[in-house]
Amino acid sequence: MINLVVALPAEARPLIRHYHLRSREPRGLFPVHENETIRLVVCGAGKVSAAAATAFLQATGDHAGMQGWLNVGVAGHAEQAIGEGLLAHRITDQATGRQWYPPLVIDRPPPSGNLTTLDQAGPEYPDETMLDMEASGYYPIACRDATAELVHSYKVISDNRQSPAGSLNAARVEDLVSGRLEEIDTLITQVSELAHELRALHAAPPELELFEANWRFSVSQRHQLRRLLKRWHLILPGESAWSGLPVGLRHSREVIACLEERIGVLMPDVPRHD
Amino acid sequence: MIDVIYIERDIRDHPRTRQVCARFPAARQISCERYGEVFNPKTQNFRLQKRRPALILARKFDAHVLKAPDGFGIGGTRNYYFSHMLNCLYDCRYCFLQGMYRSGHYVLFVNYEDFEQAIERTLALHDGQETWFFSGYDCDSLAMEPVTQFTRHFLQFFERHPAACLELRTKSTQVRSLLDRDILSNVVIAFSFTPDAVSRALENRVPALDRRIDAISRLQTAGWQVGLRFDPLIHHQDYQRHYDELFRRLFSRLDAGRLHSVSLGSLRLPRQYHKNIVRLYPDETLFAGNLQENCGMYSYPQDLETEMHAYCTGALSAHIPADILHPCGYATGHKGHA
Repeated sequence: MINLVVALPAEARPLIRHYHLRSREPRGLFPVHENETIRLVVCGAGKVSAAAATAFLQATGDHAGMQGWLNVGVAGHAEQAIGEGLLAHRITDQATGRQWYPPLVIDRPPPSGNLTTLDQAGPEYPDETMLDMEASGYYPIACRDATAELVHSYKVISDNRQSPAGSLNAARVEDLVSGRLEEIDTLITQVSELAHELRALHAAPPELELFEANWRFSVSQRHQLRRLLKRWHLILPGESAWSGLPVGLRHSREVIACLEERIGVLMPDVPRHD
Repeated sequence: MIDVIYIERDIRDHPRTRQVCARFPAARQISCERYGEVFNPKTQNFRLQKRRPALILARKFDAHVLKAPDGFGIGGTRNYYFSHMLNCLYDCRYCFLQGMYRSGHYVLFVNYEDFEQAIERTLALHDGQETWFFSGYDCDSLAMEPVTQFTRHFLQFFERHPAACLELRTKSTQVRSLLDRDILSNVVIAFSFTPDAVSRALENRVPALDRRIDAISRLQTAGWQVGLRFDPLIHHQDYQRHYDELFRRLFSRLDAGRLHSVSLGSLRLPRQYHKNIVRLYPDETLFAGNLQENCGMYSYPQDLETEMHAYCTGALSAHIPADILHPCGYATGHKGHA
């Protein structure tokens, strides 16, 4: 699952069309559009709204493990050509001076640049940075949900010193985002794959359900059981931990103790290649 | 290959910064104030970053030289370590660095001269008596040599300070900077080994065993002092046969009589590091085995550890003189396994 945080309806429309996202009903604090793999929230302008919508999307999600996050929108830049797409490699909150550095671990990331989040848009275009009004609100909140490698902000340049923002309208914003759908799609795919990889690592070990169906485990025992079964199936792949259990185990603590004892005498082979 | 370089604003024009950046003309250069802004944030994933580690160029302001933990050393009584880099080119699954740092990026401190001054001050504390300085605690000493020129630079310094002894801990075959110059009697190049099968499984990106043995052989031929570090000893089925085979391959190529030192080390991970590593690598068989916690440190059960040490010590004694063997080099286990 990947979560998209978008400020304006005009920025959202090309993505909603492209991914065939359906409007979530009933509508909550923010409009959400979704399909089986993508959720998109339209947060409105400003970093406070962006932070709130990010938290809203997280809180109303399915909590099915590690997810990716992408903030998509338009941004100004002093020199970059209009229509260029840039990933943020440094996000600065102008008001507080706080900075974040989204790690670029995906394969062949698109061109990247600095991104400064302003409280209010102005006529100035400082050198060497994109300008937006959402990223510094979105980023730290999304990083509470996912590891930073899965949290990114991608901007399409909408205005610059030669062509200031005054002439922008909704149709133009839609065109600009539409022009970068291919790159956005690649980014979404790559971030989703990383998220999937992490989720798979923490998937339930084989036979967990079988054990849980037969004994009642406390929360901490469930963690123990999970780790013990994981260890068992790493050392003895394909061999059942269940089938060798002695009959007559009545309590969950006896099951845990039995598994611990059996695993304690196992000797791992030369570890497998990654 | 480095695709991204973070550069502290303060050292942007440092000659070493320029030299490193020139090696990677296509890399994205990103300015930061202090390296910790990039390296230390909590929500990072070491495992994911190891896929494409960035290089962070920084200045180290203090603690350039640190006292080595008790029990650390190869016979000397005054032992210190220093780290010009944090993190390692290689990706060894048993390495404590992956549990200690949140980031998999490489940090290179470019202010080598400040490290040298700190070493000089440390030497002065001991009135110029023999003092050991270990490199390779938080990184591999040689692996990034073409980028860092670390050895090339520091060997000139140690040449001027014969009372300062240097151990370069490595798994690398980057020995050209050593072969290109006169040997130094106060420098030991210490190579860490695990059996070939273990290395292939757990020491990602480490050069093949035979290439490393070849590098050592060339250093010995040139007259350099070389040490061997079997650290950590890794328990697995057939470990005895695999260590026998490792020793046979090493000592069939190397001149055992000219080795400086040989040491064995135990697998030791502080509780929090172990927890971090298991969370990062829940699919790793190494940590599925019977590691036990004792006084805040995860290690093999005592009887197993004793058995492995005894076996390897016995097997080694068939190849090397007893006086160069340090059976348990590092009592705390808080040691980089470069």
